[in-house]
Amino acid sequence: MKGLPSLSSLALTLRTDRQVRARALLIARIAIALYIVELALNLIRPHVLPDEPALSIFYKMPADLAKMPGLGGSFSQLLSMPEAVFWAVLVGIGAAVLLQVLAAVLRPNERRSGLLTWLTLGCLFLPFGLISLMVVFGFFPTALACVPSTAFVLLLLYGGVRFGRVPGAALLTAFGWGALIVFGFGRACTGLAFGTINGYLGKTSGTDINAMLKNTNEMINLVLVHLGIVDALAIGAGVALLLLLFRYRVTDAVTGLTLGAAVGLGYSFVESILFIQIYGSLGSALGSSGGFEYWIRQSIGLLGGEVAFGALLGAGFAIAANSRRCVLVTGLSLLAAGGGAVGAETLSGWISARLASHVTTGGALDTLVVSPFLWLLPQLPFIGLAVALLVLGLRERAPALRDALDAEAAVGAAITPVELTVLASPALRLGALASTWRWYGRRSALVLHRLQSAQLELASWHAQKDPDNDPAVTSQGDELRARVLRLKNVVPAVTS
Amino acid sequence: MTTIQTRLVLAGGITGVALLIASLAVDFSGSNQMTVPQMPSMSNLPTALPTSFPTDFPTGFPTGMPTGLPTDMPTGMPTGLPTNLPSDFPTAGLPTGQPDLSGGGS
Repeated sequence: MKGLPSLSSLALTLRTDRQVRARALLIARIAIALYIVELALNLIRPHVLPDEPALSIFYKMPADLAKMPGLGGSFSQLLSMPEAVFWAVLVGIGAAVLLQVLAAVLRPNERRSGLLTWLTLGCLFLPFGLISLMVVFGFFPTALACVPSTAFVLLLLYGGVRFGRVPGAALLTAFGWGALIVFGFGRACTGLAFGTINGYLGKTSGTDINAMLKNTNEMINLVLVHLGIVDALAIGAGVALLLLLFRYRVTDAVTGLTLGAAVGLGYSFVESILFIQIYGSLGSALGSSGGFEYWIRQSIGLLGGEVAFGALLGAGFAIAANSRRCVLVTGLSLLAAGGGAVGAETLSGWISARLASHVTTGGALDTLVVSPFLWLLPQLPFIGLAVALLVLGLRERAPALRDALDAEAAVGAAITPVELTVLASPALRLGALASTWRWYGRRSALVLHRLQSAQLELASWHAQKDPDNDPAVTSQGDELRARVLRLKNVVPAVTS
Repeated sequence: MTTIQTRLVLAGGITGVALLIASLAVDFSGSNQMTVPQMPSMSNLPTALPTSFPTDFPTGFPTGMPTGLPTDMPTGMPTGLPTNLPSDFPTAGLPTGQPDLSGGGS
């Protein structure tokens, strides 16, 4: 990611003032409260087995059953929460409480207070990330296979928008939030919910095998609903935190959409690894294969699933932040992402089952076209909405870009009136690059691309808010201007 | 423009709710359930292990030894039983070799 802003310039826009700290801690408290409620419900659940432990996550599968092919390894990690992670989460909560007590007693200055807040958030959230790390490092070759496609989408998110671009560090943070926290927190909560639901439904079936199968089916359905909702909440929490941190930059629907998509991408990365492993080992029983899962999750459907739902959720949150009906829009965004994820998972299976008798399963046409299409079908309305929000968001940015370019053209030579016309129009920018490539070669086109990016970054600096009139922010503008002028000296023939 | 964006989010929320309801309807109507052959019911299994020993022991055990045993056992056991086994068994007419095995096994 060449052209990433330096960490110091990023720090200027990453302001952890009192409001940000208070809201970040509120989000963390809500998340931990939800986890504690899940724990309490699991503790009071009816016990189905004679010697069931107090918490269902401590249940050990009988050794003979665990040795059965496919039941150990990847399958056991589908909804599991290792004991070590459970205790790490509890220790993290204890440490976070101590840090907050320390902050209340010592009353540190702004900088230290910010540090204590981030340490608190780290203690509360990072232990959940251990679940994801176990998946990634446990199935490392599969994880490596998923890296190229994931990196491609990250680059697309970074390079796709240049005016008001989301900083690379923020994008990576969003990706990390999705991969570590959303996946880990969702699995931890849903693992507990699975035990709780099993306690209530398992009890009613008794020894009737037919009732037991029906209950298992209902249990899986409820767990899917639970997972979809918790994942949507966790994605929303990450997007809200990042939007808060970067609220002095351009934070509109496009920013939220990019951040949400990056969070969803992180989640999809870990989930893909797990599903590729599960279907790789249990494919014959489940009617699919690891290769097919790779095809739909990391190739043809890479921009679907949680990437699309995260994008929709992120855009919705950013729109809500600038809307008078903030709560309503936030709720609708969560419903879109949560309901969509549950619906897509359930209805794609239902549609496939209905069409199973009409399509030859396992053939090339089915594997490459029909099954991926059926998997994507329930998601299409959401993908369409996300694309529409992106187009509208980019259009909405056009006047802001024009104003920022005008402001810069008025004060210096970094952006001339001729360049202004080209920079304001994405079509003209692309045309300039293409003709430069044609007449001056690839190298000159790359330098021009770098110059345009620097000029758009300078324009983004004009568009960002600076309510405190921070002198550091002013000097950041001077640095960006100097960078543009340096780049102009490299390509005078192209820019003249 | 923001109004249109808000409407798009509204459309997303409504679609999300519609899909959630549709998937719940599919789930709980059993349309998405795996079809399995009808299974016989098993006998009831104990749902919990006994936690204490039984307190009511069985009663009515015999308290005394049987009385009125026979006292007049037979006396005067038989005498003059044979003391040696016969030694001169008949030998004439008995086979002297083994029969051949079927299949020509050697």
